[in-house]
Amino acid sequence: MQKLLNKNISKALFSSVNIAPLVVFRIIFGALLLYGSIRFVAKGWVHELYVAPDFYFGYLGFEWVKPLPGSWMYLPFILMIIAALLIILGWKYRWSCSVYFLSFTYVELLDKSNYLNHYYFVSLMVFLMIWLPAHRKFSLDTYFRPGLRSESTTAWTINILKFQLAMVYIFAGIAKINSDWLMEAMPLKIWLQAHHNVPLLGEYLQKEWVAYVFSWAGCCYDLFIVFFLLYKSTRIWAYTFVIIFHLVTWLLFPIGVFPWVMIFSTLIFFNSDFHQTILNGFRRIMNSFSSIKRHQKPETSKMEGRLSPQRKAWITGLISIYVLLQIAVPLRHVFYPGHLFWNEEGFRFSWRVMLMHKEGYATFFVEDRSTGRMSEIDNSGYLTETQEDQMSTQPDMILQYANYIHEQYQGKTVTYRGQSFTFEDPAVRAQIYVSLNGRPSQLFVSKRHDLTAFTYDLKHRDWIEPFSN
Amino acid sequence: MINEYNRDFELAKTAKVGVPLGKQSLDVPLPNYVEARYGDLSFDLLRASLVALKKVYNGQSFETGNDGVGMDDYLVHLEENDLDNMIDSGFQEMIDKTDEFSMTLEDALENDTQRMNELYNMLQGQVVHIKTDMTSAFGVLITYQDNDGD
Repeated sequence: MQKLLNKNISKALFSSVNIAPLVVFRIIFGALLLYGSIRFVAKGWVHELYVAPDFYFGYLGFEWVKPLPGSWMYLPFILMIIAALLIILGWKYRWSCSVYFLSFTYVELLDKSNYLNHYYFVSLMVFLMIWLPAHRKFSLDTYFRPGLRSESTTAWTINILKFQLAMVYIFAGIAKINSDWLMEAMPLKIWLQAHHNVPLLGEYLQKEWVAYVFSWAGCCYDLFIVFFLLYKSTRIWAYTFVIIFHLVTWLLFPIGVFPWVMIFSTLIFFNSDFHQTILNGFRRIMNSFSSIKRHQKPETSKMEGRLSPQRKAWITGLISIYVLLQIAVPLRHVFYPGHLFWNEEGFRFSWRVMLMHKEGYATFFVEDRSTGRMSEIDNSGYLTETQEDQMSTQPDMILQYANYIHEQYQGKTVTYRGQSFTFEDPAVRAQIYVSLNGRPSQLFVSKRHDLTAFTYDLKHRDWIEPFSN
Repeated sequence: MINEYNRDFELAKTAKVGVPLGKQSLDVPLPNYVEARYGDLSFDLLRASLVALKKVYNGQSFETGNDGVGMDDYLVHLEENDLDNMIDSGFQEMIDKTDEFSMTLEDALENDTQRMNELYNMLQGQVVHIKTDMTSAFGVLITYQDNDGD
């Protein structure tokens, strides 16, 4: 049994397979990266999200990551656009992937108000791409260095991408197994009815049973689609579902490029013949544009034969660490008490997409300790609308903002109608109400806590008011 | 549209009552921020804006007074009758509250802080209902960028 398992693992990692799926993935994913980066700049989001704000919600442990001054924030985006182009062309491939990964991840680390699961997904995928030999065929790298060319690759280089996609779907499915989603069809019920003015379908989108069908179908889709994609006999049907599912989400929700990323990434599940056909298609298009005939040399090197046992052990070890991390991180929420959607402890980086609708209203107060007098804070003076929206329902951001208010008022003297007050280590309090998945709003954070007394760490936050269902 | 309505309501709360009452100035009242301070109209203006916000909520025509389709009807359509009643009576209570004062807003800031604070708390409670409960019932994803719902 043990032997059989070892043999299977060894096969999944080190057997020699056609490199075509990896090469097609490089080109298609590179094109998506290029489109995504240009779109981000074209929409004016660089300025809106990374130049205009006064304050940024950094990630725990990464608060030292700061935006570049002013228009320099365009630099990482220019680097991303160039790197994405080079990834498509397969020129200086590993460098290009590294530059894209670093620029993209740097930007994402700046402000968690902009956190999206699909940005996290892109970071992980590009990180993986750095280590994959996706440039060893049909690339400028092989054009300049024919010795690099290879028709085969070791199986892990393709399987790791399948694994990553499987994690996204399966954890997204597991996250939907909760009473709000399955028993109340929430939040889809409120999101779908908001489309009541869509021609023809609008009437149905308000129907309660439709929300239930969408919820249950979405949950089953996420949980099982990967298994149907893995088997040849069901693959084509499964992929039809992939297209339909993501097109529906694209039509109904403002989720940007994510549907396209998933539709194109899942092509990796198809076999090498399919990808070879795509590559031949690319080649024909290129040949019709240029007269340069590529010098075709028969492939000789077999990658598998070149891997020493030590090297295999290293690769196995590193992949194991990556796999374990990817499984453990989405499960870390089990270590926190209380309601996950309410407290949001261990919520991010876990593929919880389209899972809840939270609306919050947060009033912050700065208190002069010597007189006990309080002033309400005008949030719009410190935060953008997006930041305020995100902050008012997420405890870690509430704490970060409270500390920022504290900094802003520390030592500040204000005079109102001749009365002067100097803030010495002012207390910062908040009164916050939140509505979760259509429930009546309830107190989220009470004014009785001085938020400056709490440190921002990974421990359970017991100052969040308990959730009552 | 909902967003704009939220903003208008908050403006009434903060600018017409909160700031003059000293809510942003360590409880020191700032009568020079009172709307139309020298015209003795400030309570009437506050009352008028609450009536207008209520009319918008109820979809009431400003010319004929006829009850058209408003946010109230949408809430009822969504079977959120309780919320609709709460918001509607909230408006009425605030309007009634402004009628209780027989002085100018400026006088009230100095001499009837107790009742001004009550009025302010009512406004504050109403913002919560409009901004969290109503917005969430409508299921409007107020987004400025891409969103995957987290």
